[in-house]
Amino acid sequence: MARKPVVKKLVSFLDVILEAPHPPTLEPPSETSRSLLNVPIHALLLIWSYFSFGLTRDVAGTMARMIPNLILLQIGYAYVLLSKGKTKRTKKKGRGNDNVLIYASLFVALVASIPIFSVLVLFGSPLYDHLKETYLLALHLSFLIIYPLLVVYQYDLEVWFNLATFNVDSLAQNPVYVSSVAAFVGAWLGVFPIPLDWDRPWQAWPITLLVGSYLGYFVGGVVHYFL
Amino acid sequence: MPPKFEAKHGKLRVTHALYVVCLLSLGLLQAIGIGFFAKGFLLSRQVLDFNATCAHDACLAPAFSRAVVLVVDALRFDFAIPVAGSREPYHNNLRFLHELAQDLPEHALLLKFLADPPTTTLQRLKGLTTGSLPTFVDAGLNFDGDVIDEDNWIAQLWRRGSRVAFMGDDTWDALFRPYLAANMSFPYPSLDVRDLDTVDNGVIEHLFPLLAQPQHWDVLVGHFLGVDHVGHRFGPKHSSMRVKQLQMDEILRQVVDELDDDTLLVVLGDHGMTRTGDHGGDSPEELEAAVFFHAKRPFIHRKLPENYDIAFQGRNHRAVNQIDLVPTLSLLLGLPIPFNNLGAPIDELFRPEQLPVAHYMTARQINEYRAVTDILQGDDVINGMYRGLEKMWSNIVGETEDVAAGLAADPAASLAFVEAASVYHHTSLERCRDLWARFDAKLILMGITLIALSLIILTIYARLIPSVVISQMSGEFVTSMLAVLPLGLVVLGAIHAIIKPENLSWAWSLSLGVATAIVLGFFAPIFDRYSLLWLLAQARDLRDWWSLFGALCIVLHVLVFALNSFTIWEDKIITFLLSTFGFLCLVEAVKLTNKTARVIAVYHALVFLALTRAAALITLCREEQGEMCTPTFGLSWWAVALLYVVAIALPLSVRGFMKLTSSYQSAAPFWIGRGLTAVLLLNAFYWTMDFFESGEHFSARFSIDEAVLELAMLTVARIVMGVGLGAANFGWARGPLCIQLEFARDRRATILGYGNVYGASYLLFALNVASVVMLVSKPLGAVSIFILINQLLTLLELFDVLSLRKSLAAPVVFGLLATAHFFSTGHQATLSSIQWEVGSMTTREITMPFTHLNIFLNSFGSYVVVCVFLPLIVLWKIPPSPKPISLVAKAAECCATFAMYQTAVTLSTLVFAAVFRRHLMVWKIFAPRFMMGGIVLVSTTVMIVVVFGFGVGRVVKQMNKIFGK
Repeated sequence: MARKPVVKKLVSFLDVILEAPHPPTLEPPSETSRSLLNVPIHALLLIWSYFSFGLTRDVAGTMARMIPNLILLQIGYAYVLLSKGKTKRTKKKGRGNDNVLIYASLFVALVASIPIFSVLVLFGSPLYDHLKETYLLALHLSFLIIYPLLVVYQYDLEVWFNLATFNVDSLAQNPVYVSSVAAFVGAWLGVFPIPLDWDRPWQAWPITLLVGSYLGYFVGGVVHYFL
Repeated sequence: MPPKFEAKHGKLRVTHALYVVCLLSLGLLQAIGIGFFAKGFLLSRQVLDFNATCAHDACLAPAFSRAVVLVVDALRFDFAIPVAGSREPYHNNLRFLHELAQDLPEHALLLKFLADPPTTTLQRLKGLTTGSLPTFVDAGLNFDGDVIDEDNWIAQLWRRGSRVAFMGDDTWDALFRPYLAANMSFPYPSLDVRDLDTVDNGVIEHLFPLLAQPQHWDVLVGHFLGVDHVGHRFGPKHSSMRVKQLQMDEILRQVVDELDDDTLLVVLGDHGMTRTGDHGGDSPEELEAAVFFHAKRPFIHRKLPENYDIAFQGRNHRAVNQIDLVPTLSLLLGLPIPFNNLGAPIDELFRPEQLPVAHYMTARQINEYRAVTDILQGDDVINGMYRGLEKMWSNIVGETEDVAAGLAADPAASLAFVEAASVYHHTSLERCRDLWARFDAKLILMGITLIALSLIILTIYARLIPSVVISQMSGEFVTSMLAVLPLGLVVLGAIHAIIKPENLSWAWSLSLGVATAIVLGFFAPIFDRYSLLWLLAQARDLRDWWSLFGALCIVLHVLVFALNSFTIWEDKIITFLLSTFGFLCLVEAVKLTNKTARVIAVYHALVFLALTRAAALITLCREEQGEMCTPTFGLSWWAVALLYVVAIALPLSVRGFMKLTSSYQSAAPFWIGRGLTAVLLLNAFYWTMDFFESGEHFSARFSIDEAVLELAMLTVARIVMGVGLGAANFGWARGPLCIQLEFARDRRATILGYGNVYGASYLLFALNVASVVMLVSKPLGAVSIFILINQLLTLLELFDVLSLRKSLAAPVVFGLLATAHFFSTGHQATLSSIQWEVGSMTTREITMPFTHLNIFLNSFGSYVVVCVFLPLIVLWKIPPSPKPISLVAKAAECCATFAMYQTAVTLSTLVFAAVFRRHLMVWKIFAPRFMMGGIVLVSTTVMIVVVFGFGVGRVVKQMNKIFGK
């Protein structure tokens, strides 16, 4: 071999050192114990009402018309979540702060619908048509999933980072989080019935995803209750 | 070279060679399995070489002394009838046939003409001349049609001494050459679909002089290809279609003017075309062609007018089977009906007093055919019907045996006879259709078993036994295979010789012996060392989330074929899984604690997601996807323009990836910066010329000589193929390196590119192959391959940062990508989406193996590219290894894992094709998917052997020589 071994030892090359991530523990915002009030039964009611108000006949129209109902119920749910948290927590923040949080988060959730929309597109939502339906789905997902998370976990980036990376210590402490993950899984599963050749009106885009996410949200709450 | 090193290097060589033998034998096992399954599933029809004769009153007196048969390829029924209100360029152009049938109802007749699938020209010509049903497997043989050995009316004409003149599609020449009059036979090449006019002009050139001299011929066959080629090239909705149809219309008018009184004119379409202009499948648009009969004297006896309703594009119009032409034409020309015929006479063309005779003769011929065909002779229902017919006939004819008198005496009875005979023909045909769709369950089961065994072996080989142990066991595998081989051959040979199984010839028996030897050869050493329980406990893979995800992808992909709707939408499902993988990567990337690594990983995950979505925008819809799918795969100026962008962008992006490890050194700038750019520019140039050739307005404006253009295209294509498949790989085998010594001031040296010595050098080889695949892909297909290469390189970075190299997920995601890009290069798992026209890129005529290679690389290019990139999962971004053998072992493990995934998918296509063999959609959905799966499995295994044997072997051995101790 022509090359001297000395040369080899000085060789430099790009090497990425992988450190084991050690999770900063998530501070639960409240010591929410298991409670039936945390189970989002209204998600079930909402999805049932969408169908009875003609979701299968006019997909986009119904989805748009039902958004105020969703928001109203979610605001109520937000109050429930916060009041549950309040029972043992020191009352540093008054009701007023809660109100600001609850109503300001509505706007944040509205904005959050845009990244959700792009995620939907990246996952393969149609690009040439059905844009309106896809965006309405993003709005629904945002108000259903993101909005309660905003209210509960507020605006601590580190907490959100841990949420996004499934780095949560105690699922039992985080009912809303369990529901949210279940809702995303529900939406993910919701795509599978679409291609089936059953010719049902509910197979229209994006009803199955909508149903999947709402059911997932509810099921997540139930699962949490039994955790 | 020190002897110690030499011994070590020798060991590396031997280990590598043993791996190649192992992978090769597994590939052989799979090929044999697929072969058995295909033999059982695509049952071929028994071909009988009996010829009919006129003995025993089997022929009528000829009604016409001459016939002109003009085939207008892809003449769909709605092309030939007026369609009120339609402004489509394929409607209301060919008006003449219907006009004539309206004006002279006793002289001309236009009917719907139903083809039997597959609607490929070769199968149609066989059906139109022999009257037999096609089998599915013939479709693949469309290339090298061999002289037909079944009885047919062309051969009958020749036997009688009649002269058949022929001009047009050279498929006729391939099928009937001995029977055509040599001095009046003018074949033209049919495969070059870019060429819209050569065949038609050739037909026209020879047709009219011959028409003017009817004394020289008895039957004249002309086959126009223009309409079909316009369909393939541009689809029906293109102005060229109108031009072509108007030309056909004009020619048919002239032909009719030239006919004499004693000549029968038949104009027919051999099949239709889909809305994209393709054919091959069994949709109504492909099956419904038109047929037209005309003579200068009245001879048509029409049925009631409501049979000829042209409303709704002729939906309710009377239709006849294409094979019905065979008895009809034979009887009208005074020939015996070809022995294998299953068609029935077309009623309108026979005089009422002749019609029962025609039906009787046909029924007798069909009965004779059934009597000598093994699987038909025992059918008591049909035989009973025939005895009934014979009885009716003898009642009509009476004891005097005077047919004419008997028929005249009892018109009602003769009508009833025609009715009964029609039912007989129809039922017999249906029973045959049903029978020939029957499967050989034993062979199917054998095929499935062999593939399942290969899956088990691959799983144990790739995932359950640690790769270090496998590298020691390779020798044992080979030895035990060799030891069992004679045993397997002798036992199976003996079984063949003694038991004489029905469907197993010598070759099949012996190949089963080989397969047994391979299976036992692998199992013996495995179970010598390990117990079943130990192996099962080794599902160590599934302990981490990524491998679980890989397993989930395999399971979901396998389950796709359980439902026809999922099989139809496989493209979208695969993309969905890939996107899910991208998001999981994103989540995992965000979690990384090292900041540089996190930024790199997040960036690559996002790029991967965006590229996946972009590739999914390119799609060629299959018929079943219907309106839910918007096709985007087509030839357009911006697609060609994108090729130039790709030619600049691909070398740049590859350079970017290589610079991450500073390995864009020595050979790389020349290879990629110059070589790859030049080849890709040539590709773009080729498709630009192709685009110019196709657009009439362009060539008109620039007045480019077509011959020059064609020569230039051939030259460019041959240069790229020659460089990419030959020269560049030969050059690569000489060992280009991508490293550079850099001396610092303090007399110390740095080897740039040391961290990626294997990967960078290997990448050059991978790019050679990819550039050829990009040439034979259509412009948007090449863009898709460009995206694929970027996705693969992005994935390699992600695998490295997220330490996924050893995970099950890595090869599986590669496999998913290959399937996703199979679809986005403009393919579907259907016969009609095969892009036959690329066959003529490097040779104008069908030349083995170039035509086949082009079509293979075009269809399965994504799999080829992914296979070539596969070893990079192991080789990318690693410094020279002190243990080259373990590197080879890891590469083999990776390749075997990929093969395992493909085997699981293909096994699923086989199983579900077999399960759903009675399903309505079997020939539309499940069988084509199994054929695709079979080809993919065998060809990826071959590719893996090539890639591992040549690529990995070369690069590891060379680096070991340079850096090894």
